[in-house]
Amino acid sequence: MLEEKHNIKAWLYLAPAMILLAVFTFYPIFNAFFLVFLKDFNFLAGTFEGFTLTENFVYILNKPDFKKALLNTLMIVFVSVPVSVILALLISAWLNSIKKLQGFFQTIFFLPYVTNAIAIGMAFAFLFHRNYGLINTMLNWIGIPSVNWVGLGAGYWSSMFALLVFIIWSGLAFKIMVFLSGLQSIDKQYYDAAKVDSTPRSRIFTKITVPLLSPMIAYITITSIIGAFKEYTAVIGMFGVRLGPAGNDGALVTIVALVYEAISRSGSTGAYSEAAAASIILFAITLVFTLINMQISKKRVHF
Amino acid sequence: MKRIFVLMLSLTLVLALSGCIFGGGREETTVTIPDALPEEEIEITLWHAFGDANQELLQEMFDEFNEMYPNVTINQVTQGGYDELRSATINAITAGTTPTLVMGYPDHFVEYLNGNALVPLDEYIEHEEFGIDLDDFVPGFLAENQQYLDGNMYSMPFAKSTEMVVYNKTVFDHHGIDIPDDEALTWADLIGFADTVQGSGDMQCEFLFNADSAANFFINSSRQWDAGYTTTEGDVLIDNETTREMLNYYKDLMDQDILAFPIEWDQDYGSTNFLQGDVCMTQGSTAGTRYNVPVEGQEGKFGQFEIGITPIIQLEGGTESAIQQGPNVAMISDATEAERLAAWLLIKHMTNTENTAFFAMNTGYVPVRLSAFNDPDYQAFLNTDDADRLPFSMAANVAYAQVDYYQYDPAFVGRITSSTVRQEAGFMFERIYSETQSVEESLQQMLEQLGQ
Amino acid sequence: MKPILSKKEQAARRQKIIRLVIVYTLLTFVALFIVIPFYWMILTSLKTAQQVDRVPPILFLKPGDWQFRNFALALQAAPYVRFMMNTVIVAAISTVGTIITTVLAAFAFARINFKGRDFIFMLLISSMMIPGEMFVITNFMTVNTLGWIRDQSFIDALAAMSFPFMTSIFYLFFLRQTFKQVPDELYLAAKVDGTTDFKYLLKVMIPIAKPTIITIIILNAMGTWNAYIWPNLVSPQNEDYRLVSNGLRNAYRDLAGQVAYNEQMAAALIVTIPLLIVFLLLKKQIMRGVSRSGIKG
Repeated sequence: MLEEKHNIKAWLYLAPAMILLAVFTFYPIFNAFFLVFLKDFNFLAGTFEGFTLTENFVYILNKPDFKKALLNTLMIVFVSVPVSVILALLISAWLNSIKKLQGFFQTIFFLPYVTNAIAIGMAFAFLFHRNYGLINTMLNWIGIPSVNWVGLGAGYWSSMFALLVFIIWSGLAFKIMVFLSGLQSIDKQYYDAAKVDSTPRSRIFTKITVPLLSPMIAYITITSIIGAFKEYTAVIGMFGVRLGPAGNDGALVTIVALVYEAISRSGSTGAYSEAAAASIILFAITLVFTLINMQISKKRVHF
Repeated sequence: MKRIFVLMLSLTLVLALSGCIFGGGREETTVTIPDALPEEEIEITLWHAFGDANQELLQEMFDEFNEMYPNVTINQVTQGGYDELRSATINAITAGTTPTLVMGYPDHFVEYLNGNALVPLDEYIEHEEFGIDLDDFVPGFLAENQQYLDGNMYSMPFAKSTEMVVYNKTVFDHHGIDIPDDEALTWADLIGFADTVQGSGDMQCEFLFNADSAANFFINSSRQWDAGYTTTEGDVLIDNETTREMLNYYKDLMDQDILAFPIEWDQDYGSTNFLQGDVCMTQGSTAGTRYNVPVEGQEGKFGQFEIGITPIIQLEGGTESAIQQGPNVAMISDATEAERLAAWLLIKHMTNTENTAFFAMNTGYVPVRLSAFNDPDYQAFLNTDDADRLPFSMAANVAYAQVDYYQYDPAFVGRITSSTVRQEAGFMFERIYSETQSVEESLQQMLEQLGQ
Repeated sequence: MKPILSKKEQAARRQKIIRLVIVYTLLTFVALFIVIPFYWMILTSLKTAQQVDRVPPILFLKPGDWQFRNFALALQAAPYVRFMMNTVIVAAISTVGTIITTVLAAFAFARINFKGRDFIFMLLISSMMIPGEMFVITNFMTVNTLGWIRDQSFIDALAAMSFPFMTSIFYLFFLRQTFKQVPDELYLAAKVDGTTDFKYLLKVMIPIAKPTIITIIILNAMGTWNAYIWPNLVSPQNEDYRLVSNGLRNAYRDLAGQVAYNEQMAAALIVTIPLLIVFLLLKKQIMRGVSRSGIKG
């Protein structure tokens, strides 16, 4: 009976969302796709000089920054997503296991979500200050000399590290919220049964909690990967338009930064097509990784 | 299912092709000027990026205008910052929801021109009755507004600023060095007193000179050295021997701690460290005067020291050049004849001698008319004894001292824009300063970034 | 008289205490990691302009030195109260819209079998992979075509700011996951009772998914609070219609572009605190777990 197809009913339920999405999401995407095939698109005058299949793509791929942007974006995805997902899982599990102060901690962990990225970016840049930052102060306590994280002439790896810490920090709040609401929804029955068997906590976690939470883990992983591919505001928040430490401008450029750069020239002929090309290239890369991720999820997600 | 999808797809394509994203194309603007301002109600709007304080000043000018032309209603809307102003205007041009007047930089205006969205002002300027005497305007400011490729003048200067050098008078007096306030020093002069003033002694500064904006420093120095920078057609001219010579010259000064940038202290501006005595001279915008004034109980090596202000440093034997900044005002072509005339009369009013002096005195901007400098109120301001106003009047005096040689950097759009080049120039200087790259490598990277 | 615990129970209790201590310690470390940048923000907001610039930086301020005037100045610099009201209204509209559209659509994806379901869902996910900037200009033109930009009234401004955000694939995905976790048996049981799908949705699914729905409400409302680019863009003619983050960003830039950091941080905090209050009020709803009645054993 569940296999019956109920197309009309489905569309009735989907209609409100789909109408809004068609107007404000799909239509803009088609426009963007369309732009990439235009030659000399003048946004202000609404004119263009013919069509081109690859010109705009070639331009973006040949940009001196493109390779760097690709590498940086991939690094952000492959480091920040696993680290923040695992951290969030652990933290929400700990949170779920205590009674007193649970609300207090939950409020604290939610703080990053309610603040302004630029203000916090500045605070973080200060934390990593080469002379007065807390990080270096703590390193000095244990005998490690100060590192120039984000200051004048700072290197790529140190500034990338600082950026990753900032990104992970910013992303925890949402993930913890989602995992916590997921944990709270797990039927106590499952835990009761395990308790009867005197199952150790770690086994309860890996064999019961995680599988029951797997839909949420899948959701968070997929959306985090997509979000990480689009990262840009964190770099701006921490480094400003220089996109890197002084003397190393553009060290942390990401693919979306290239999109923004093109849009900042939107009055120039061809600029919007460049932005569209960069967006589509990003889309293709993200799609590949997301499909891989979803395949993996299919095997491991239990509903 | 697939049918619905294909249907949606073709629908969107049709919509897209039918011009929903494509803005209203505009024809070349024709200008017809009525003989007199129509009597009907006219409403004009001005978009800018000013904060509350300046908005009030503008409102005073508007109220005065209304006494002369009661049938004109003026709306002013701030877009917050120049980036927001630019993107709001660009979108408005495409959507057809434009204001009458918009402030901005030539960088923005050439973008708007790409869509034929600006009104050439020449006929208004030369009009028998409503015209304006361009000779009274500061030539350097005018030149910036006359650079457009087709020879028309699309904007008028309104709120200009420039750069100046604030120095630690206490230190310089101690060493018996007298710095003029109406004539520019040269780099030779600075090198000359570097030994005395720069160092680790009690009455010395670790660094001699800070330039707030590495980008401005590069651009202005290129002019002083005749090294070539850019053209209005979008050519980048920096790949030559003179540029290299210039870069190496300043690298040398950096090595001797004579020249520094705020990144030395991980700052955006040099004012903090100037006040703390780390650097004895700082070159920055006249609009930032108050940040360079030591306060009572000032913490730092010299406490609350005395300051002086001198014009920006020139190159001995080079071309005199000072940078100009600050927004101009342009008119959008969507306006009707009546609205355009009203807007033009407003521009005339805002830039008349009295008002440009008034605006300048209260903001730290520079008057755009030569006669304004002789306006009695402005003169009183320039010669003030009031200790609180003194730094601002010193800055104004210095701005006037440079009035003969204000330059502008050409504005252009395209795969790279004038703002792209400016930004890359700043970054290049930073790389040289931080020694992450050699002079040659830094120059090469800049050229590569600009697709040269 | 206190009951005497057996050795086993004693050992178990000791274990429990050790575990609790470890967990609380770990949580405290995490909390510190989270809180430190905030401490810096709050500290900066209480400093004078000179203290902000001080090097080496001041890490602690005596209560007597706290500059509350920064907050007073921040409140004066922009009409925050009006901006906050605008933001609350826009947040309310877009959140209500989001909940309605998302609940209905998530139900369809989770429970109704229809042709192309997986394909369309994949399409929706894919649309999240395009950077937001590419949507902005088309949506601006659309909103203009709908007549909400020219001669904009307050209602027009509200519509322009909220309509594009009345549905969210991000939250749709989230809710679908939650709905899919509701066991089939419950549905079958309801069907046997003759319940329609809609009633099932209303009476069973939504209550079970309440923590998720509350979470979505909170997150969506917060998102509106921080929105900057879009609200600024669609109310270019009238500053009064703008939202709270506009006041924050623009209030402290001056001619030279230099920012009074202490005042800016104070402004940021003023904006943050209402959010925290809302969060505090609503979080109990999430924390209250839901026990699924119905299917036992």
